[in-house]
Amino acid sequence: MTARVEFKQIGHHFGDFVALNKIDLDIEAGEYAVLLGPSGCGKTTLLMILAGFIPPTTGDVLIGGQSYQHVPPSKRPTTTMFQDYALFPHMTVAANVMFGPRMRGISRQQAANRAMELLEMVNLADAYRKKPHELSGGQRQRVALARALAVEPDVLLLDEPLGALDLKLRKQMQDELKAIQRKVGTTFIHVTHDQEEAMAIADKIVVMNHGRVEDSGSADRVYLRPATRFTAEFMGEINLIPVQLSSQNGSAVCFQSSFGAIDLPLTALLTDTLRQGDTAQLGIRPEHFRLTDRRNALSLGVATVKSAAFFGAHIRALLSMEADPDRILIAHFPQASEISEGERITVEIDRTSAFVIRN
Amino acid sequence: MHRLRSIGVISYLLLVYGFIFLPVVTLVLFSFQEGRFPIPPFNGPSLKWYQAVFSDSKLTSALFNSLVVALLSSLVACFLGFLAAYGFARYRLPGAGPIKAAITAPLTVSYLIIGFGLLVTFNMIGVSRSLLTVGVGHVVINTPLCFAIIYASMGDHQLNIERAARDLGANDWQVMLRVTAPMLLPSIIAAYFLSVTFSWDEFIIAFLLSRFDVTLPVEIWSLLRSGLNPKTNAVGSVVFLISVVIVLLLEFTIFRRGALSDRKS
Amino acid sequence: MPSEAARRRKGWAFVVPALLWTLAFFIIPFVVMVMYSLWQRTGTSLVKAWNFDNYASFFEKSHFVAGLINSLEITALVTVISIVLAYPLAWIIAERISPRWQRLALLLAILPFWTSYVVRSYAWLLVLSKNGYLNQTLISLKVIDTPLEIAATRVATVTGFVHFFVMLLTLTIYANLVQLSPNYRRAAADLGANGFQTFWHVILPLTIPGVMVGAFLTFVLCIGDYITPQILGGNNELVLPQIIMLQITRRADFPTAAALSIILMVVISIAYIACARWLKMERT
Repeated sequence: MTARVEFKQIGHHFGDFVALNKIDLDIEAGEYAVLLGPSGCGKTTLLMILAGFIPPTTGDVLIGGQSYQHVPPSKRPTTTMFQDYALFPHMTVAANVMFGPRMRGISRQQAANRAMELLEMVNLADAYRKKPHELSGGQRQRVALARALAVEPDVLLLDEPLGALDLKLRKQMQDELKAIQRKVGTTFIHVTHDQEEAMAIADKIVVMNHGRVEDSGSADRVYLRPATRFTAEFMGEINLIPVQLSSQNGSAVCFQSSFGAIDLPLTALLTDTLRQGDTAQLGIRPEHFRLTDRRNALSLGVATVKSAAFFGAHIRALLSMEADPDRILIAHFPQASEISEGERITVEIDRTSAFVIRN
Repeated sequence: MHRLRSIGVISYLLLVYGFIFLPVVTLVLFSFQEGRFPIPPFNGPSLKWYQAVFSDSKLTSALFNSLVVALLSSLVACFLGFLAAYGFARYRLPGAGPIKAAITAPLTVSYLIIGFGLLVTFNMIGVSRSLLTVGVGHVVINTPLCFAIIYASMGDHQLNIERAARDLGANDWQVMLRVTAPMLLPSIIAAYFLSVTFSWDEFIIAFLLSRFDVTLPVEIWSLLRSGLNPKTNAVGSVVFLISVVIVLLLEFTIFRRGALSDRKS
Repeated sequence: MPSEAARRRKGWAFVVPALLWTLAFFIIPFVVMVMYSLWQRTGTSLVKAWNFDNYASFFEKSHFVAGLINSLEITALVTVISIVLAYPLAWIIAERISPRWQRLALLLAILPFWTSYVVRSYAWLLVLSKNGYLNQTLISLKVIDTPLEIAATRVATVTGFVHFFVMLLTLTIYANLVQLSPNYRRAAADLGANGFQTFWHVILPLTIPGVMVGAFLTFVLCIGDYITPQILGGNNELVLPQIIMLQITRRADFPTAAALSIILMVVISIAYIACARWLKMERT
């Protein structure tokens, strides 16, 4: 019903193009993992290797501690929910869900019962006798989920499952997928390029780029303390300010920047290979800006508001720092803040949320 | 097991390709026959039957007639088909369904019936049979073909390009001639050449509607009455060569681009 | 902004030329043919009698009915044999040949399509004739002692037809196979189906439309064809188009030919309606 997945040195090449570069990755049993990255980063290839549709050029995958090299997809404890759902259009919804159990030699009656059970779980019991083309996009997606779960896989693979749905339905399905995963306990591995979707559902986010794993961990860790510059930029809007390490002691680090000296707690330093005089990037998320004095505040100096736009939950402002007018910072301020274009304000950030990463 | 299956696959391929190519190879091989009969054993090669074909003025003028009828009738069919496709794709017309059905109806009727219907009609109103009446018949069978091919390639994604052109000041005719037609050129050319090969090879309408000047299939037909003859092989091989050249030209010019972009996606 | 009516007028202007051509040279000739079928030819003159005698005589004269039955039998045989031969070929090209070579394999499979229609039947006559390659090979292999008389039989007609329609059906079935999403196959395999189960439960049902379209084209083109049965089948066992041509060219009996043509058209229309209804049913 559930299993741990271990990728060992997985590499994949298409001719000269390196799609995957020696991936090492563990996903715990019962975990909801999301492979996140831009198109062409290798995330779908990794999923297809796990499913057995593509053989890896090098390395091996262990599912539940067991190697499945040269084992075809039909004999693996994995099932895939395809991006286009791949529901068989000539079969009813029930026949689609029954297909897997029937292929495994389960009797028609038992398979039908199982199908009904799963369709009830995804709230589609009344679509039992319909054909796929009579269903909406969201309903087809649920049928695909029921069909994939009908064979009781240890690992369920979801290839961009929500890509074809509109925003509202997507949010709703995210909640449902997570709830169903909790209920069945199967390991889910979900591929997407949408970082909000990843944060909404993942126990573990695996950020991929150019065939490598850039970062992996819980949503808050990956967002607030990213391992690499790519992760920092991919997970959401960020201000990156070049800084130079000037001194470091037991509890604090000090950097030089175009805004002057910046003191940060040692925990802000996310790399341990930085020496005095080295350059790095100071990362500040837009929501970590402050308008008024607070605890842990760090002043960056005076700035002019270039523009301010109302975004519903917050106000998004572009700030030009007086010390370095060409460097524009993006800041989010609370909904009720009164700031206007051309205004001069003192800019502060939350000292404990800023971080420093390598170039 | 795996090897057994590949052996099965390969032998099946050999068998079916053999079946498909058997008559063509026999035809071409015995066009080079030295003797008077195109049956084994093969003695040759000799080009004398090709010489006979090209010195037979009946055959060469039939070849010329066929080309003229095919090229001109396809031009008319393509023009009519394109206009109708444009009308249906770009204007919402009431009763479009039955009219589309009427225009494509000749596709589902035997050429024999179309040819015979025209024969009795021309007969009744006193139009004498000629290459012109043959051409008229070929336009009847090829217009629905051209219409279907061009209509199928007119999607909504081109609609916005046309709107953009109109927005930038082009009038209806300028849009059609300078934007729509060039965009659809591959399918228009494909429709034209498919129509040419159909017309060029058509027998029954040409047979029923021609009198003194005949097209090549009709002339070959009368050649067949003299029994098996390497000269028929030679003229058949020439026709085959011309058709294959047209098809390969199309394959490597127009469809190349399509094939390449297919591969990328 | 031009009015809706003006726009419509403009739209019709594009459609009218093709419509007029179809009306003048397809629909009116058809009406004329129906008129002829209700007239009689006595001696050398045409009697505009307006009755159904020509249709009645179709059912009275056994050789007319036999012609229709021959046509239907040959067409059914050709359609079935062509599907049985073409499906594996299309499947092998789509599934077993690498994408690089698929286009070439397909091009080769339909290359003889472009031989002249008249010449193709003649070429089969060369192969199947008494001293042709087939008989010579069979004799030298000691399968038979005396040459088989294949030319001028139903076997020859069916062979010639099957040759043509195998190519056509390969094309329609291949087109259907390659437009299927590869994910159907993956999903079936993923859910535990083996190669045969995937084919039987998923691929085959999804390619039935391609088979039906090809089968319908085969039916229409085969049942209305004059050349292949005339060259390969000879005059021993006439099919309906041969009988129609005899009325036109030998006996100049246009009314009878017209009535027979309309009967042929009715048969084709029944097949068309059946096929269209079936495809529609399949879709819902």
